[in-house]
Amino acid sequence: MLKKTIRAGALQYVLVVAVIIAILIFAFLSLHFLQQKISVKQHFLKETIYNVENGFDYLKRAKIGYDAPVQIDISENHLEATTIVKKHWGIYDLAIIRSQIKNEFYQKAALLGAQTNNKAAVYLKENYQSLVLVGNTKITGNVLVPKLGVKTGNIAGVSFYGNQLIMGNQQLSANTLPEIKNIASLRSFYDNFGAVDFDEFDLVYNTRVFKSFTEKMLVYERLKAIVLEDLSLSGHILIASSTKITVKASANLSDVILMAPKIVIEENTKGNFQAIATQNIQVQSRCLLSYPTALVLLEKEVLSNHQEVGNRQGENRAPENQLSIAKGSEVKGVVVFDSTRKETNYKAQMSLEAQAIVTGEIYCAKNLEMRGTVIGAVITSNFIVQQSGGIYRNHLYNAVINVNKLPKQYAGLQLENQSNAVAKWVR
Amino acid sequence: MGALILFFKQKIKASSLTEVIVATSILLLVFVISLEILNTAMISAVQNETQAMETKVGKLCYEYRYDKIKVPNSYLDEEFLIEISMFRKNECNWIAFEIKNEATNKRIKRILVAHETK
Repeated sequence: MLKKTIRAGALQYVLVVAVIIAILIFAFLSLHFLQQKISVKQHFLKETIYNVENGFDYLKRAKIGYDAPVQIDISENHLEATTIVKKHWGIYDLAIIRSQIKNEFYQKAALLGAQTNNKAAVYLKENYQSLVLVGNTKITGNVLVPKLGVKTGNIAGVSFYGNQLIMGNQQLSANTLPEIKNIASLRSFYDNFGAVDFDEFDLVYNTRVFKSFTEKMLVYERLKAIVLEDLSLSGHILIASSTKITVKASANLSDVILMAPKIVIEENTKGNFQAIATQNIQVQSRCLLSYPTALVLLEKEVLSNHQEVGNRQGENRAPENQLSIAKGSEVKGVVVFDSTRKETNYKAQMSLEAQAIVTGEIYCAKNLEMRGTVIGAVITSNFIVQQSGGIYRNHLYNAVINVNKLPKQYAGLQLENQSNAVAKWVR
Repeated sequence: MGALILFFKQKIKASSLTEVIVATSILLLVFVISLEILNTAMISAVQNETQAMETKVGKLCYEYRYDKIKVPNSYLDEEFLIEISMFRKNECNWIAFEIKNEATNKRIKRILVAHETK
């Protein structure tokens, strides 16, 4: 009985069918497993994106220190690691948020500015004089002005042509200007940018350089004057000269910082950058500097002493520090003239020519001559007009200021708040 | 391929009753096991399916962003139990959106930074 063999003809079929079924099942299970793995990966990636988005919202509310990475738990996922780094980048702040879950990670960088809801069109420091409006001056929005208020005036036979002085409410200003929260750090960055870790690079004709903000800063520094032409620079790049920087229309700059005592932006230049100078910034005609541009003149105490000596001797008079924007140019962002000098004079330290447009904020710690248009806010110690051989203090001549047209997403100077909103996404 | 065709074309002698019973049992066993595996895989796929909940929570976040829903809030929407609550973490107010699928008991949660109080 035991020795009897059983024929297995049908069993062969059974085995073949079983093997085919096993292969099919294995293929199906592999597909299912792969699909699940991809879906988990995709879920993690989506979650890192939510975390980064939430991180930027968190930045709006929470105060975060500079230069030290801060780790926060944003989601409920215990595998998540989200890090926020906030740094200074010129007058704006730079935030880099990186979120990682297992092998999936996502990061985003942005330039930040301060967003305020009720911006005043004009803040004129209490200088014990009234604000005088002449010609086609038109101010739309609330204003903070000296106690003597606003009145109409006359310059060389031209009187005020409007039918309402201010299209908004009037309030009293204080006898100091609001402080820009990060101006001290900007001054120290100007004097000592070498303290930050950086790589150097060389500018050659027709060069194209991009440096990510998540990487080390690239610096091109020279003692002599630098002329930027026929090149394209973008990202985490600093150009510094000990004398002068000239930007020609053929230069394509984006997000970079230029630092020199004198900066000249030649006619028809287009781009978006921060120009930080100590003596002179000149924006020639028909330039279009897109948002978020910053033109910052940080007047130094040393030069004022030199000027005093020059004034006393009547020779070697140092040229007046000045920030000027010529006819037909448009600047979107912030324009700042900051000074630690106490004494004042009757010259315009900042001038905005007729048909020049600034969309954003103007902050002038000295005299501002304004004949152009500002869509946004003007904060100044004094207005001045030089016309028909005369100098008129606290006068506005054919100036247009409209804060209501400023987009509510605008993020600029850190006056009341620290930076809390994204001005521009960068790479 | 030719070998496979030949394999199927060859003549097989009639089988004994024992052989048929063994073959049938093996075939049945293979079918039962494969059905069971497929069934488990399908059930787990359906149970882990959270797309509808993800869509729902995405919609809630959007509505919150544009002030269309009240916080805190809790309600039943078809088979979804929705809970919206506010809590404080890292010196900041957060809103938690939690959705539970009553049928599958699956739960997902997403948090957002709360608006500034207006």
